[in-house]
Amino acid sequence: MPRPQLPDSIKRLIADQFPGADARLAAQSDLAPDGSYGEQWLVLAGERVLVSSADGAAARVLVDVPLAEISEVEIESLVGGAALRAVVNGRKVDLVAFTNALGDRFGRVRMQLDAAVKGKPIPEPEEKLKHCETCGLVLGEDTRVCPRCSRRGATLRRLLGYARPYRGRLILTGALMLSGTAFGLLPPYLTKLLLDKVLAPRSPADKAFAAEHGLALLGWLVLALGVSSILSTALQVWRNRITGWLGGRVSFDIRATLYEKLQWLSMRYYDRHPAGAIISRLTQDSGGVQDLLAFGLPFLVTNLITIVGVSAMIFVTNWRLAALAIVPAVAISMLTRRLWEKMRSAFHAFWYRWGRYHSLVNDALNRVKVIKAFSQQPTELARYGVRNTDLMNASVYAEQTWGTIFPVLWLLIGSGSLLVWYFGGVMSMRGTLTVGDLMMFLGYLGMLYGPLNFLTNVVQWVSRALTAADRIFEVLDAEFESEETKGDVVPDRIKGEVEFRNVVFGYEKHRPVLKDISFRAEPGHMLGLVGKSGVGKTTVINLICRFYDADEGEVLVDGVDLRNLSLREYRSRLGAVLQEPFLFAGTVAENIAYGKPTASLEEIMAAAKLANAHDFIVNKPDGYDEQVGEHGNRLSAGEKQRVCIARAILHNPAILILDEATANVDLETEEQIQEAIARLVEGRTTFAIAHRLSTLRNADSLLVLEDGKVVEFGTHEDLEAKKGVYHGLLDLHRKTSTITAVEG
Amino acid sequence: MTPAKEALTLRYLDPEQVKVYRTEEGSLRATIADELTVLSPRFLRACPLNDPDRYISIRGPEPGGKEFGLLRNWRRLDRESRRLVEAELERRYLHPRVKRIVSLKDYSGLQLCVLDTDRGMREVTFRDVRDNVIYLGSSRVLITDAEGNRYDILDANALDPASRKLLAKIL
Repeated sequence: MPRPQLPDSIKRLIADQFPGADARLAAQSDLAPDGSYGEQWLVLAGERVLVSSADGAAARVLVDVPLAEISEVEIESLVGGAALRAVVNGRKVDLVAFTNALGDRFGRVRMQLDAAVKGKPIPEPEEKLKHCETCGLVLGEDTRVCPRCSRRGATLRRLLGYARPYRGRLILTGALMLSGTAFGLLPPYLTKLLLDKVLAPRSPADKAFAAEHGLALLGWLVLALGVSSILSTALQVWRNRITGWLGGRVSFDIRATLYEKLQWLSMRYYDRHPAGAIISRLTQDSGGVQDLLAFGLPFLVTNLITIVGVSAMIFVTNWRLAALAIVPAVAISMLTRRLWEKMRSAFHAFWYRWGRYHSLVNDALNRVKVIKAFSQQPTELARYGVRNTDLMNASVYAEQTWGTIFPVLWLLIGSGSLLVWYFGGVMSMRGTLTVGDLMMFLGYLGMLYGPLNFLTNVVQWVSRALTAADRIFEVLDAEFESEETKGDVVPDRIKGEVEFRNVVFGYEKHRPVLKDISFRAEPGHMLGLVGKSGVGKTTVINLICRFYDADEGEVLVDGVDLRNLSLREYRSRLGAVLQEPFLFAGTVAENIAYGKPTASLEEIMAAAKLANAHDFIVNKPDGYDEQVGEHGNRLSAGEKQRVCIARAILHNPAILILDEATANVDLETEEQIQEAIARLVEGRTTFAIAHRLSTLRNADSLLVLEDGKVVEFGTHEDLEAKKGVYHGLLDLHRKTSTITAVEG
Repeated sequence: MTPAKEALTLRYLDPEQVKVYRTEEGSLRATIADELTVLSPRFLRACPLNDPDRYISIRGPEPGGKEFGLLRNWRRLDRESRRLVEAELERRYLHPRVKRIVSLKDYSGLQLCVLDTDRGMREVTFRDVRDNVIYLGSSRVLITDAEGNRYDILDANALDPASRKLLAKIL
């Protein structure tokens, strides 16, 4: 969708009222001043910020603020939309409101105005493609596939692209299909010979020949019939084996590509797509694609070849009769085109419900404990019932639609043979057509109706599989992690100096969570992040991990913008011990060595020793070979935590993230963990989040956040003396600790 | 080395400095480098499955007891010590290795199986066998039976064809 241009009427209006002020920036809002859908224009004209009402004769300037009086431009988040606001001499002046559709656009406008306010050149930020370039349709999140413009043919071609490496086998398959069909065409012709030359000869010459050589000819013809069926079957078996291999192999390739892609998708993508939906793409959808490639497409092609071959044969025999048989079939295939759409939407609905069903079950099984604790089984059953019913209805609808259409189509297609029996019969009685020809004709028709019938059936196959393929390609087309700036600076060594310089960031661009954050962490220092929940502590960590990129400002590591640093290299020097200790199903040793797969057992044991984990591990029946179970469920919370710490120690990162590592463990274990953490932190730049302020007593400095801004920064002693926000939190903390102590 | 620092690193023992013996009353003792004697020591394998013969942890008798040191290779101990350690390990790690699967009968979900192991023949019952199997590497399989006993198939591909066929039925 092209960006709307500032209308001439408003240009004239501005030229009239503010001569000499040219529009440096203009943005159209989609709301009128009274909040109804409409149009307003925000214009930066010369040194003034103007808001003008709708285009046309009635256009007039509603707001007029001199740039020089503005100290800040901000966005106020509203429900369903947001408003751009200027701070003018300490007073907030509403400029223009807009709906969420323009959130990103005005987020950039805010940045641009802010630059103008500060006297900097107005940046021209790149616009992310949200609409299809061809038709203007709003695209899905993080995808460039336009469902309206992407054609089935294109999807199919792309799918076949995956078969390109196996060209040789494909060509062989094609040859086998052709020859198989050719042999398949023989039997009706042999039947004709059998009837006309042996069983029911009409012409005197034939009668004479049959009387003399009939028996021998019969033998030869039956033998030929047998051989042609055997050959055609053998070729079919050979072909099936190859296409089976091709289908398996190609879908293997697609799955592998898909899984690799999943590893590198951005966090933003995962924020928006539930795991169940992604899993079903790897399982259901890739299975659908395999079905198409292994069975659907080969069948389609052989049947098309059969149709062409058979049509040629019957038209050569008797074109009038052929036309009679073909006409209803053609009418049916026209009808099929309509049904294509109907079937596709039915199966789309079915697969969508299947994905939702999968998400629900996955989610419920992950919180069995909570369900039991609140005895919410009835609620869960009700929720499940709704989804299950949905799924059932969609599947019943899809299958019933199919089950109805299919037999009726079969009946209609078959009606052609009735015509042939009648008119062919008349011709035969008049002697213009031999009985052999009629039987051959009917034989070929039988061969024709099968594939035609299949062609209607193939609608289901193909539409199901192409929908699945589309869903897979959608993931493949989603953007890679921070793709636009992958970064290629590979540092010799990361010392671990981290600096935030005027960082602004929001998970949605127009709702900043971090608002102009600046701080610096020296290499090897421990920095504690303090603040109430929701102030942006985790967001700071997310930016340090480069799960997301800053919208404005820079995150610098050793003085290099993080966006320019090689992501792989940087992450290899980054370690984390998170609130939810993450272990995968495997042995303890494998889990510790996760960040350094080449580590020897002695290195693993040394790390475990430092993490106070060696003793409990050796006392497990299988020691370091102990299986930790899915998510590490066979270990206790404290054990999991220490395994994670050992992993971080072995990984030996320059920059370390600690997120409230001592929650839910007993005092003795906590002490062991604290001890282990103290050893881990040594010599690394550490960012620690803890709700218990006592955990942070060892931090070199503390960063106190409030509403996405840095309010205090300094050592524990400095901040306590300052009697500000930190002091307040500390007081509160002491009070609650006392209460806990008394009650405990 | 300060005591505090000592707790941070593992101690690897020189096999020549470790003596394991039985007292006259028959209780086990281990003397380490003439500096201390451990009463009723326990010998634990750090990696019982993947590296059973290396890294033996010598520990005090109480559960979770202190580690006195690690032996990289206990087979380098002197003869008598080696014999005692081997016997201790044999006693602690009841770890039958399957040589052959003699028979297998399937009763919808339950499998009655006769195994020929290095500790002799045994009849075992497997339940939900696919949930109770651990794959180590590409061909090693550990199966736990319905009563919690574990059987180790060191190399499934090296079994005789008949055993392999039976194994394929349950996995």
